[in-house]
Amino acid sequence: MAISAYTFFVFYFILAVPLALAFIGGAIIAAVVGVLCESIIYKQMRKRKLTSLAYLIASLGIYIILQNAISLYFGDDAKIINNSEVVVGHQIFGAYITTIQVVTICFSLALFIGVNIFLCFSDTGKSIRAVSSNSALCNIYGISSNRIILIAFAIGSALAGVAGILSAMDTNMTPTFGFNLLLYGVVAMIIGGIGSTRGLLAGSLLVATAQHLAAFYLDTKWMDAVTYIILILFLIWKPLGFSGNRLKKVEV
Amino acid sequence: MKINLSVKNGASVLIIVSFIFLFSGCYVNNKKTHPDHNIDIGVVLSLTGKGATYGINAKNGMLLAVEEINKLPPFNKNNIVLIVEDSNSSASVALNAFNKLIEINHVPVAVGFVLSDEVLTCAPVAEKKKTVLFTTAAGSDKIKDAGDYIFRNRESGDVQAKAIGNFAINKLGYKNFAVIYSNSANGMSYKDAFVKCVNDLGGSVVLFPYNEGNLNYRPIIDKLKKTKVSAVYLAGLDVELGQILKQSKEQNYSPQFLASAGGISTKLLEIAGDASEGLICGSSPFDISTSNQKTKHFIASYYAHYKQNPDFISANSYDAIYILANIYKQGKFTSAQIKNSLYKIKDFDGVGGVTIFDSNGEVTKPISIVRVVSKKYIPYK
Repeated sequence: MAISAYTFFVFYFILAVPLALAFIGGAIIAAVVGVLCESIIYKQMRKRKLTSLAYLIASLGIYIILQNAISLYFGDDAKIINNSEVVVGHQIFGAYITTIQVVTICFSLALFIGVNIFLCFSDTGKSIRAVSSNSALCNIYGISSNRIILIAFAIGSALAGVAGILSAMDTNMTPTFGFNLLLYGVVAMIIGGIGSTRGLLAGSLLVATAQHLAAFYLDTKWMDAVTYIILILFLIWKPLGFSGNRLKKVEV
Repeated sequence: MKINLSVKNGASVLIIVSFIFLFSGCYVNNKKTHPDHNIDIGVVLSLTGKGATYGINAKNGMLLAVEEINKLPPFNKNNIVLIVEDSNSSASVALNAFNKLIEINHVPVAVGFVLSDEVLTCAPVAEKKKTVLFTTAAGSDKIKDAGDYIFRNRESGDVQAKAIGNFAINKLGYKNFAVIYSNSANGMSYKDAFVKCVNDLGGSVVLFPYNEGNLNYRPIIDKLKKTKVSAVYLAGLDVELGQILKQSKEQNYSPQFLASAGGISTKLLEIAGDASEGLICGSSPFDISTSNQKTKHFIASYYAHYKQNPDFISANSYDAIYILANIYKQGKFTSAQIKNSLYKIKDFDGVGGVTIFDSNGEVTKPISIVRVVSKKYIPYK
C-alpha cells in the first residue's frame, strides 16, 4: 500500500504526471513489486517446500525491507498527497463524508464487483480459484500453478495499491501507514472465510462497524482491541469464518 | 575431508581477523576524526519520523549558531563541531545514539532531544555516565526531576498548559473544555497540567486520548460533537494535531481549538490548511515580529539560510549552542564543569528569551499566546 502511495506521490507531485495516470502508475508499480516478491522469494520458498512459519517471517522481512527503503528515500515524516482545500464534507443521513471517502466507496464497490465477475466468469479467474483449492491437481490438469499464483499476486498487489493511494489521500501517509490497514484486512479475511468475496465483505463491515462502535461507546483506544477480540472469538467458535471454507495453514 | 576442515578453519580465522581489523579500524578512525583542535558537541535530534519538523528546526538553529561562533575567536582556531545523530523520533534509537556519542565520541554534552520520551529514556544514562543532556524543546513536566545533568532551556509544558488554560477561561470566557491528547509523555504532561488548571478555575473537562501516530480522529470528533463543549485543547505532535483540525472541518465541527507547543509547526499548517485558521497555541517568548535587534538579526539570517522563518525551537537551539560556547570560552570542557557552569547562568539574554537555570536545570520564561491568522502564527493581542 505504501509503495503505491509513494509512487503516486513521485508521479503526481514530482514528475507532474496527470492525476489518473499517476494513480494507474502507482497501482502498476505495486503490482510489479508484488510480482517480483513472488518470483524472487515466494516461488523459491515453494520449491523448497518450506513451512508456513517461514512464509510468515519472509513476508514480515519483505515488509521491513520495503518500509526501510521508503524511509531512506522519502524520510519518515508525513507526506501529503491530497493538497486540495479542506472543506466541510457532504452530509448524508446526519453524518459528514468527504469527497475522497465517496470516491473510495465507489472504487471499492466497482473493484469488488469487477473482481467477483473476474473470479467467477473468466478462465484466469476460475484458474485462480482452482489453484487456491488444489494446486497439485491443477498442475496435473495442465494449469501452471506458478503462472496463476504470479497473476494472483499481480492483481492482489494492484488492488492493495489502489487502497493505499485512496487511504493516503484521506489521511496522508508515512512509510508504515499501510500496516494497520493490512492487519485489519487479514482479520476481515479470516472472519469472512477464505475464498469467499461475499464473506470478506461481511467480515470487513463487521470489523469496521465494531471498531467505530467501540470508539463511540468506549474509547478510541479500544478500536484495535475490539478487532482482535472478534478475531479470537471467531477462531474459537467459528474458525472457518462466515463462508465455512477450510483455512489452510499456509493461507493463515 | 582434511582439506574441507582446513577451509572451514581458514574461513573462521578470516572472519575473526576481519572483526579484529574492523574494531581496531573503528578505534583508529575514532581517534582520527577527533583532533584536539576541535570542540565536539553531541546532538541527538528527531530528523526523521513523527518529530521531524521540530528536529530539523532545532538542527537549523544549531548549525546557524555554530557557523557564527566559528568565525569569532577563539573558535575560529578551535572550531565547534556538532556530531549529529538522528533519533528517528524513537526513544530507543535516541538512547543508542546518546550511548554512541558518550562511548565512541566521548562528548561531555549532548544537545537536542526534542521529544520528551527521548529525554526521559536517556536521562538515567546521562546521570550514570555523568554527561550533560540539554534539551531545547521537550515539554514533559517529568523532565524537571530527571536528574542533575539534565537541562532544558524552554519552559515546562506544565507552565505552558496552565498559561493557556488561564487565558482560555479568564480572557476568552470558556468554561467547558474537551482535551484530545496523545498517550505520550509529552501529551500526558500537557493534558494533566491543563486539566488541573481548568478544574482549579472552576471549569470542566472531558478527555479523549489517542494512541501516538493515529491517523483517523473521526470517531473522537463524532463523540466530541455530543459533548457540546465550545473549546477543545489539543496536546500532541504537529502531524496529529494537523489531522485533527483537518478532519474536524471535514466533519463540520468548529469549536475554538487551543493547542500545546506541538501546534506551532509549518507541518501542521500544511496538513490542516484553512482548517488551522484561528488555532490558539501557547508558545515560548520567541516573537517573530520582535523589534529586538539581536532577534531580528537571527530571524533574517535564519531566513537567508533556510528560506523559512524560525520558531521557538530553532531559537532555543541557537541559544543552547551560544550558552555552551560561552562556557567553553571560560576554559571549561569537562561534563562536570559544564554542568556547574550551566547552573550558574543567571542572565543569558538569547533570541529565545532570558535563560536562568534553577536548581532543577529548568528555566522560567514568560509564555506568549499565538493565533493562526492566514496560515501564520501571530501573537494574540
